Amino acid sequence: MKPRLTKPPKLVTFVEADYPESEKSAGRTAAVVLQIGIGPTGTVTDVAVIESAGAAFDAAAIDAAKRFVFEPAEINDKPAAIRINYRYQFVLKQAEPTTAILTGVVKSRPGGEPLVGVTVSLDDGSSAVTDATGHFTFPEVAPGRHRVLLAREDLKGLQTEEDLVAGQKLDATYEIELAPVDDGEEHDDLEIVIVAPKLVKQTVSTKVDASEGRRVAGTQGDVLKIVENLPGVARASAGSSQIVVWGAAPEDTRVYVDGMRVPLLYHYGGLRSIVHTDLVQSVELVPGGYGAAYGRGLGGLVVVATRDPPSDRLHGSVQVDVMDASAAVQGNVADGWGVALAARNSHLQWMLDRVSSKDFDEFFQIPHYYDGQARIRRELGKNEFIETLGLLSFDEVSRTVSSTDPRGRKSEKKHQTFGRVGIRYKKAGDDGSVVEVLPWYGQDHRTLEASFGEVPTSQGLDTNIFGLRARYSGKVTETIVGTVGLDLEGSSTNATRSGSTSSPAREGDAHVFGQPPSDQINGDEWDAFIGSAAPYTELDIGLLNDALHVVPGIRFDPLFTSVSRRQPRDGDKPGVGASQTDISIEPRLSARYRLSRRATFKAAYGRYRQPPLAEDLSPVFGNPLLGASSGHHFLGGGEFQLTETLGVETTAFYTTSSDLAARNPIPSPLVAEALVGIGAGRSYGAQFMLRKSLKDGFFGWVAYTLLRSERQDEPATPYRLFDFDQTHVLTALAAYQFGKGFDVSTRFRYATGYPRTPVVGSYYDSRRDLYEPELGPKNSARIPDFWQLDVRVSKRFTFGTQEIEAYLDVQNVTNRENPEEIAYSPDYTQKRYVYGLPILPVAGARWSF
Amino acid sequence: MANARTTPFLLFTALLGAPGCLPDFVDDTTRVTSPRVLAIRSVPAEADEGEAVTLEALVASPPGSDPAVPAWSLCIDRKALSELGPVSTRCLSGPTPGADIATPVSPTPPVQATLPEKACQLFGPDRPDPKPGEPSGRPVDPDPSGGFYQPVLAWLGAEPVLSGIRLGCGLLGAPSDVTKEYAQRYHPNQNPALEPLELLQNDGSVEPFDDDAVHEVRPGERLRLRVKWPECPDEGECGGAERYVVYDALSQTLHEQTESFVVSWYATAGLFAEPRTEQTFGDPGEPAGTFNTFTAPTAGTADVWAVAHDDRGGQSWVHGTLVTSP
Repeated sequence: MKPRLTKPPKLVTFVEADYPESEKSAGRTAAVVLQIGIGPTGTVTDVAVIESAGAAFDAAAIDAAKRFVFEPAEINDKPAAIRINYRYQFVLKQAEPTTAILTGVVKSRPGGEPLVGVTVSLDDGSSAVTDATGHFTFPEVAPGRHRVLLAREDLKGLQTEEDLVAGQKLDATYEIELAPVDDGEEHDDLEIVIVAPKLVKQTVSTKVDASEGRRVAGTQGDVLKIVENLPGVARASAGSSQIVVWGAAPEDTRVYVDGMRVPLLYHYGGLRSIVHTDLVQSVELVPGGYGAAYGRGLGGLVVVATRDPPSDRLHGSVQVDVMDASAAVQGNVADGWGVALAARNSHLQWMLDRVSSKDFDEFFQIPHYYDGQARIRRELGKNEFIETLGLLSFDEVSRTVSSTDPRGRKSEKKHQTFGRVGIRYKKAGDDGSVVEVLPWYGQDHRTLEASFGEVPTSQGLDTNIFGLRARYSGKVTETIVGTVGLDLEGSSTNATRSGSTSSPAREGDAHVFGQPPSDQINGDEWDAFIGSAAPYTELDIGLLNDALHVVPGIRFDPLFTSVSRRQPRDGDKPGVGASQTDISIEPRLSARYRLSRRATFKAAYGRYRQPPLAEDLSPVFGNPLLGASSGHHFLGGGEFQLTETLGVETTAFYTTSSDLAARNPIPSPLVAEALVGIGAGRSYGAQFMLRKSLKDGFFGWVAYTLLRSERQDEPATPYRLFDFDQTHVLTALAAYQFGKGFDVSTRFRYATGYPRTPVVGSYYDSRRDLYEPELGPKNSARIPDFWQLDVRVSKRFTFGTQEIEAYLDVQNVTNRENPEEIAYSPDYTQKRYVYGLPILPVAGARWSF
Repeated sequence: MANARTTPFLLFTALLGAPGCLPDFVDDTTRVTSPRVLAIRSVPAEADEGEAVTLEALVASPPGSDPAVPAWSLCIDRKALSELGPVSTRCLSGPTPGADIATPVSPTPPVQATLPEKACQLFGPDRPDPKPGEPSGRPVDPDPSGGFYQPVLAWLGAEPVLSGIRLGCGLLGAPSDVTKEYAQRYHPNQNPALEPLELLQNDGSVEPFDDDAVHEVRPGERLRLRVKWPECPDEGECGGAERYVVYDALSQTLHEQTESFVVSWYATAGLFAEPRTEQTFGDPGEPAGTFNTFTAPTAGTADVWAVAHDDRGGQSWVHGTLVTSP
C-alpha cells in the first residue's frame, strides 16, 4: 500500500527564540527557514537551516525549534516520523507603553499669538517652558489625571487638568488672556483662561468674552447685546429692552454689574446697553439653577464684569455712529492706581430730525439716553485691591400722536435714571482663598406720563437702594471649597400713581395693542420699604478624583416689607401703615460630573424667592400686603467637547413659580386687594448650543431653545400661554477675521411669534364714543414667526498703538417685513400687522489707542 | 502714563429708510350701511340711584331699510378688575342674560328705566356690603370727570351698544370738608342742547337744517356742516360746555373744569373729512360749535347725523337729509 499522510503534525508547544541582542539593538528583523525532523512521538529529532538569516538568527531559531513539541504526524493512520519546513520569523516587539506624551501650545487670546516663556508645570514636579512658537512638550508623563499649571510673571495661578492615557499623545492648546504688567512693555490687556475646564460655579451658564461679543452682527459693537443671542433667551420685540429668560417675566431676571444690581441692562429701545463696551470684561447669562450667592429673582441672572483698569499705560477710545457717541479712557494714573472712565450720549433723535419726516416720532419712540461708568482701583498688595465703582444711566422717550380726532390723540413720555456707587475690597490668598466685600448705594427714578384720548396716566417712583455683598471662599479640605457670604439689599421707594388700574397693562391682561385704557381712574401716593439680608453658604465638593463636583448650598432669606398705607385714603381717617416679614430658606444643589475630558454632565435644583415690586404695593392699584413669590428650577444636561474648539452644550429645564401678583378676579374685591398673589407659572423646554471657539480668526455658535411657558391667573383655572412665550428661538452667528484688520460677521435669527389674544368681535360704547373689542381666549393666537439676517463688516487700520475701526452693521439685510404686533381698526373689524424696522444700516467709526 | 490724545474721527452716517411700519386704517365708522345705534342718552342725564330715567337711542338706518327698535337692559353685574373692558362681559352675552346679570327694560316708548337702589355700591364710590367676617369691598373708580355710570345696553338683534347713565353718587375717599363742599358746588350734568345742523354756503350764508326738510346739493359737492351749542355761564346747569367741580384723589382737593364737547359725524352716503371734531369756535357771549367737511355722494340721498358727547356722559344729536341734484 502506498504510504499516505492521513494527519499532518501539529505544533502544540511553541518556544520563542531569544532575539539576538546584537540584532535587536540594531533593530534588524529576519526570517530563518528550517527543516525540522519530527519523530513518531512528536519530539523534534533534528533541525537544519534551509535559508539562513545570519549566524545569530540561525542559531537562535535552531535552539528554539529543537524545543518545539508536536502532535505526531500519521501515515496511513499510524504515527510516523516526518520532516517539515518551518519559517521562523523574528519580529521586534514594541515595549508596552507606560507613559503618555503631553505636548501643546500656549497662545494669547484673542489674536492667537504664541506666548513665549510660559512655564508649564505638572503635578509630578516636571515642567517645561514654551519656546518661541509657544510650544511645550512632556515626553514621558505617567498616565492619569494631572494638574497643569501655567505660570509667567503676568499670569496668576492659572490651572487646569488633563487626562493622559499611556501610549497616547495629548496635543493641548491653551488660550490665555493676560493681565498687564507694569513693566513698560506692551502686553495684551486681557485675562481669562478659556480652554481649561476649570471649576464652573453655575451649572448652566453661557459666558461671552468682550472681544468676541463686540464683533457680532446686530450688536453694533455693543458686547452686552450679545445676551439676546444666547440660548434660553427669547427674542425681544423690536424696540423692546426687555430680557426674557426661560419664560420668566422680564422683571424676574436680575442684572448685576460688578456685583451691584441695576434695573435694566439695555437703554430704552434696546439699542444700547448701559455699560460702555470698552469697560466690559465679560457677560455671563445664567438662565436658571444658579447658586446660593444670588437670589430675589425667579428668572435668570445676568452678570456683567467690568475690566480691571490696565496698569501698563493709558488706553482709550472714541466711537461714533448714527445712534450715539461714546468715549472711554482707562489706565494707570499713579503707582498702584488704576482708573477707567467711560461715557456715552445718544444723538439718534438729532439725526432723525434731519433725515426723517416730522411725524416720524408719532410712530416710533426715539430714545434719548446717556450713561457713564467709573472705576478707580488701588492695588494694596499682591492680589489685593480696593476700588470704587460708579454707574449712571439716563433714559427718556416720548411720543405724541396728534390727531384731529380727539379720541385718537395719544402721548407718552417715559423717563428712567439710575445711579450706583460701590466700594469693593478683594483679596485673594496664595492658598486660593478669596475675601470680597462690596457695599453699594444707588438711586432709581422712573416716571411715566401718558394720555390716551381723555384718559391720563401718571406714575412716579423714587427709590433709594443699597446693598452689601460679602463672601469668603477657601479650602475646607483638599477637595472641598467652602463659601460663606451675605447678600443684603434694601430699597425705600416713594411712589405716586394716577390713572386707570388697567394702564399700563400687566402680563396676562386680556387686551389688545392700541386698545384704549379704561376711563375709571384713581390716584395714590405711598411709601414702601423692601429689604432682606440673606446669609448663604455653599460647599464645592470634589469627588471621584475631582471628576465629580457637588455643590450644595443654602440661602436664608428673611424678607421685610413695609408700606405707609394699609388702606386707601378714606376721608379724614389717618393712614395706617403695615409691615410683614417673610422668612424663607432656599436650598440650592448642583452637580457636575466630568466623564472624560470631552464629556461633562450636570444637574441642578434651586428654590427661589422674589419680593414684590414697590409699585404693586399701592393700596389703590395693588396690594400693600403682597408677599414674595416663589419658584423652583430643575435642570439637567451635558457639555461635550467635540474637537479642540467645537463644543456642544444642551440643557433641559423645568421651572415653576407661584404666588405671582395677578389682578383680583373677584367682581367685588376687598379694599386694597386690586392685586393678589394667586398667579402661578411654569415653563419647560431645552436649550442647545453648538459653539465654535475662536481659532484661526473664526468663531460662532448656533443656539436653539425649545420652550413652553405658561401662566395660571387664578387657582383651578387652566394654564394659558405666557405673554412672552416663544416655542422656537434659533440664533446662528459666525464671525471671521480675514486678516489685515478685515472682519465679517453675520447673524441669523428665527423665533416663534409672541402669543396674542384674538379679537372675536366688538361693540360700541356710546358714552365714550369708541369701540371695545370682544376677546377670545387669552393668548390663543400668535404673531407670525420672525426671521432676520444681519451682517457686519469692519476694517481696522492700525497706526502704532492707535487703531481706527470703521464698521457697517446692517440689520435685516433682506428687508423682510417682520410682524411685531397686531393692530386693529377703530371698530376692530380690520386687522393688520405692525412691522419691525426695515433694512437698517448703522455705520460708525471707532478710534482707540 | 501716556497723555490722552485727540484724533479726528470719521463719522459714517446711514440713511434710515422711511419706515411705514404702522398700518393706516380708514375710519369708516362714519358710514351707516345698516341699522345702527349711534347714541344712547338718559333723561335726565344724571340721576340718583333708585331714580327713574327715560332712555333714548339714536337708531340710524340707511334709506329704505326697515325701522329698527332696540331692546334694552340695565347691566347689574359688576365687572372684575381683571376685566379691562367697560362692562362685565356677562352682560354682553345677550339681551336677556339672566336676572342676576341684567335687568330688562321695556322697549315701549318712552323707554323708562329705574336705576338700581344700590347703584352707587354696584358702580359707584359706595363700598359693597361686606360679607360676614370680611371687611367691605373695593369701590369703583370714577372717570376723569369724577363720574360713575350705570351700564345700559341697547340691542339690535344680538349686537349690543353700551352706554352709561351718570349716577349722582358721592365722592370716593374724600375728607368730610371736601365732601361737603362738593355737595354744595357740584351740579348734575345736562345733556347737550344742540341747535339744528347748519349748512355753510360758499357765500357765507348759513342754511339751517330742519329735521324734516331736504336740502339739495350737487353730486360730490364739498359742504361745510356746522353744529352749535349754547355758551354756558360760570355757574349752573346748561346745555353747553358746563363748568363743574371734580375731586382729585391724589391731592384730595376739588378743582373746576369745563366740559369739552366731541361731535361724531355719521352719514348713510357721502364722506366726512373727520370722524369726530371738537369745539372749533365759541367767542364769549356767542354759541360755541364745530365744523366738519362733508363730500356729498355722487347720487341719491344722504342722511347725516351729528352726535355730541360731553365729558360727563351727556349725549345729544341732530339730523339732516341731503339729496343730490345735478
